[in-house]
Amino acid sequence: MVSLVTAGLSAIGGATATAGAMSTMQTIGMVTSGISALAQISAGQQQKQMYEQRARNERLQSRVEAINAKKKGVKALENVNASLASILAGSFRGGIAPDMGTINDRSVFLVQRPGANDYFDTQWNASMAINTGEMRAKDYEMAGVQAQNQGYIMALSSFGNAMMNSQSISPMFQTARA
Amino acid sequence: MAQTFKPYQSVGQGLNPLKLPQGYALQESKNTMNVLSQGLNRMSDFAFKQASVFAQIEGEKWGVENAPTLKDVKQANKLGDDPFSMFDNSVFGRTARASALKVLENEIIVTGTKTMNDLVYNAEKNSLHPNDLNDGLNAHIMGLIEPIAVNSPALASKLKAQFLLKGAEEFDKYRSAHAKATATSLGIQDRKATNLWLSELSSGIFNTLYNENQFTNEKILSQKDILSLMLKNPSADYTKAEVEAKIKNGGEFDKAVVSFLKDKIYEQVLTMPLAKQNEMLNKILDGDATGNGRLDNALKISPMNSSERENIVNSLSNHIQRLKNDEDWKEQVLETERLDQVEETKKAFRKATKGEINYEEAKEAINKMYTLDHEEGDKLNADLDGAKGGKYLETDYNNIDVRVFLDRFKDKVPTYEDLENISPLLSQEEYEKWDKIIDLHKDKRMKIAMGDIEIATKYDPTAKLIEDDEESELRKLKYKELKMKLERSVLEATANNIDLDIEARVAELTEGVAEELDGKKKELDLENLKSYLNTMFKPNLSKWLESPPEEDLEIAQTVLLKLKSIKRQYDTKEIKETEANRRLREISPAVNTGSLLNQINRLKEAIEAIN
Repeated sequence: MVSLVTAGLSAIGGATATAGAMSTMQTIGMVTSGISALAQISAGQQQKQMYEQRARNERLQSRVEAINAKKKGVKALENVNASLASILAGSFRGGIAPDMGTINDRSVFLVQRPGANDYFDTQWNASMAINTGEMRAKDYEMAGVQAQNQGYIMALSSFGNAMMNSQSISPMFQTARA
Repeated sequence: MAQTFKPYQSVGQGLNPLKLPQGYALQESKNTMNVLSQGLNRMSDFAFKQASVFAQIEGEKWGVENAPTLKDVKQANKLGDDPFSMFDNSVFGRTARASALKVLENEIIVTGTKTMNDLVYNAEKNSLHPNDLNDGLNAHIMGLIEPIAVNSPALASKLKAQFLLKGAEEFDKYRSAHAKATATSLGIQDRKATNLWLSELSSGIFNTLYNENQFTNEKILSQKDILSLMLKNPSADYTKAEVEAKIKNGGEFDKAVVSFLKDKIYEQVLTMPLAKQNEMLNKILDGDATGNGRLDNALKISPMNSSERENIVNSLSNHIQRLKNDEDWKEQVLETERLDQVEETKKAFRKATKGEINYEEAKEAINKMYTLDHEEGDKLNADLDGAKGGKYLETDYNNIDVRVFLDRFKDKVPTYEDLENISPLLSQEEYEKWDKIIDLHKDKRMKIAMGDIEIATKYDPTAKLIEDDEESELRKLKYKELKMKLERSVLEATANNIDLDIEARVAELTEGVAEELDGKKKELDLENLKSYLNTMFKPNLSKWLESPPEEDLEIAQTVLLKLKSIKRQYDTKEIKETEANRRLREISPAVNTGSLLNQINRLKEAIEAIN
């Protein structure tokens, strides 16, 4: 793509150099076409910037979502702690060993397992928020590069057409003017 | 007992739905490809359009260059071929086909129009019926259109309409003209008949009447009545003015009568002797009897008034004068021709006598000259007699042998043998002159006289060694002069039969010759001295001569003295060589001590020669 841009710029240079051999209207055509090409390049670059902005937003949004998910994970752990504390307290009061029998089953199946599930869900959510956010940001960045390329291509196309139009005007006419 | 177990309270967090990328990159990538594709399409469209325009131009040119002619098309139709098969269905082919058809169209229009014009011209020339012309035109149009109808029905249809329109126009014009021509044809024939009748009046009716001595007013008027009836013929459609111009007094009829009588008067007068012609003219003018009864009667008719008589007589008088002038002119021409022939004959005579005489041709020229001009004939005869039967009328002085002979014997006398050798190239007169000179020099007195001349001029023509200097040349010239004078005197005396005293004549000729030659020699020496002084010394004389003498001899003597003085001083070593050269350079840059003696001797010799 860089080579396309370089070719386009050298074409503009060449056109300007040969402007001396062209009629006034040809010169006007070539100059306006050049300006149009520059505008198209600028439009492409602005479009790219817009996509980059969106990419940044997506990354930020994904981090916020991850933090919220992690906060929920902490909450789940706090709830697990509170439940486990109540079990421990009940077992000591009842003189029952907390790590065996019903007490232990309650601890494992009614507290630790759902707490762990909740916690891992929140971790998953946080992780996915970051990853998908990054994916979307990359998507936007790639789209931006493409938008910029479109600007270059349209500029080259417009200017190339202008060059061909200019060249298609009779060389005899130009010779006669010279 | 209160429940102490605090069950786990779920945070209610399930797995969040995934917010996956929506493929904006792919979408934009697709757009990029679309944009690229559109751009390239625009460029390729443009290139194709340009190529198409170029193909159209080339195709148009190719089509014009390779267009089948009408003849090609007819030939192809006969063979069942397509004459336009070379044009394919491309832009090039289509354009080429269109231009080829245009060329063919032009050819058909030109050919068709020309043929139609020819058909109309032929119809006019042969007075064809309009329907015949129409049939011809239609057949021609169909013949033209049919061959192309197969390959280009549209063009065929267009041309057919065009030609039918033109054909109809031509047909209409021809039909109108034909109808008009037919209507006027009868009238023209009647008019022709009337004009023929008028033109044949003189040789026909008038002549008969005249020969029968019936050329009277009454008879002539009856003929005029016949003419009036002819002029009233309605088909001839004479206008009133035309009728009036023919039958009024002095009109065409009367003019024919007068013209007839004029011819008769001419016949009468010109057949008479020249002397009597004027008398006859006067009689006719006065209306007197001419002696020809028929003519006298004829001249009495009314159109022949006194004015007409005067006109005829004047005209006849002029005619006679012209005839006389013609005779004079003929004589002038003959005289010019005679003078030209005289000149030609003189030229022929000169040609015959130039170089060796051709007596036959010369005599022929003389005889011819006698027929042209007797006096000139006598002159030529006298010229030929001057040759006295010799080979040459004049000596050929351009001949190198003759020139050598004359030069050789300017101061010598030839022998008879010398003369005989050169005699074929000399005129008889020249030969005789030299013969006499040889005879003359055989005479003893003449020999003595020539000896006196040799002594006086100090020139010996028989000397083997001749000095090639100016003095010798002077003496030689003088010798030749005296010899020629003496010879001329003796020859004149002999020719006039006078007794000449040769001794006295020689004494007269040689008197003062020695002094004259010495004087001339002195002049010559002085000239040489002047030239020598001018060459060697004059440029610097003014530098050293305070008061230069005016005479050249004195200058020479002064220069000699000065040179001698320098030499003496140099020889006695009073002055050195450098000083001697300095002084010599004041006299002349060409003299130095090396050439000093040489210059002194030359100057001495020159001065002594003069003294």
